[in-house]
Amino acid sequence: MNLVLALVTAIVAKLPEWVAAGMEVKDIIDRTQAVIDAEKVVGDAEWEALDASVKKHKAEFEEAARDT
Amino acid sequence: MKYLALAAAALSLTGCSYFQTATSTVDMQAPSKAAYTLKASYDATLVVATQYARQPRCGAPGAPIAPLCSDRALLNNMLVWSDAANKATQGAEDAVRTFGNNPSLVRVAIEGAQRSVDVFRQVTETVTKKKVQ
Repeated sequence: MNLVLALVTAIVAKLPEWVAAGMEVKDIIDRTQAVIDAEKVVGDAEWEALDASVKKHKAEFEEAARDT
Repeated sequence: MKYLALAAAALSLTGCSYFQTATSTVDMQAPSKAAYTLKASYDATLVVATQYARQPRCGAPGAPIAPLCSDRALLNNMLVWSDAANKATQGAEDAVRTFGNNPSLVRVAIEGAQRSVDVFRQVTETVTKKKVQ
């Protein structure tokens, strides 16, 4: 019973992180859809925003994947 | 548990629908949008991969049991394919921004990026499906 409680507690503690990640993915989807819908070639501003987003998320992934 | 299922499903479905959008909207007639969509797909995959990487390593003292832990070997694979996808999507971006008037070169760069992003996405989907199940 204690094991189940510990598991449920760990899962509940993760919920805010999962929701935040879902919102980040939704934001990427919305930005991409706006670029696709625009009747023009992708501009410098859109590329720079995407480059900054990738740089941030790649650094976060590598930091999280590193063993401490 | 109901909320967990909803949150997990939301994260999973959001990611999946994005990946489907990214794949279905790649249009070789609009290379800049194709390259942008691939790079955005890589970006979204990084967000999901980070959630997996933030879990304690499986087998570490005090680590929870699977699916609430992350596997070191899988993470190593994800790091390798993330680097490959990063380089390939940057190559596709550089190609459309620099050689936009050379369709064959742009096409090769975009196809390479598509393959790299697909592998990184599939590796990440595999581990996150394990997490959801």
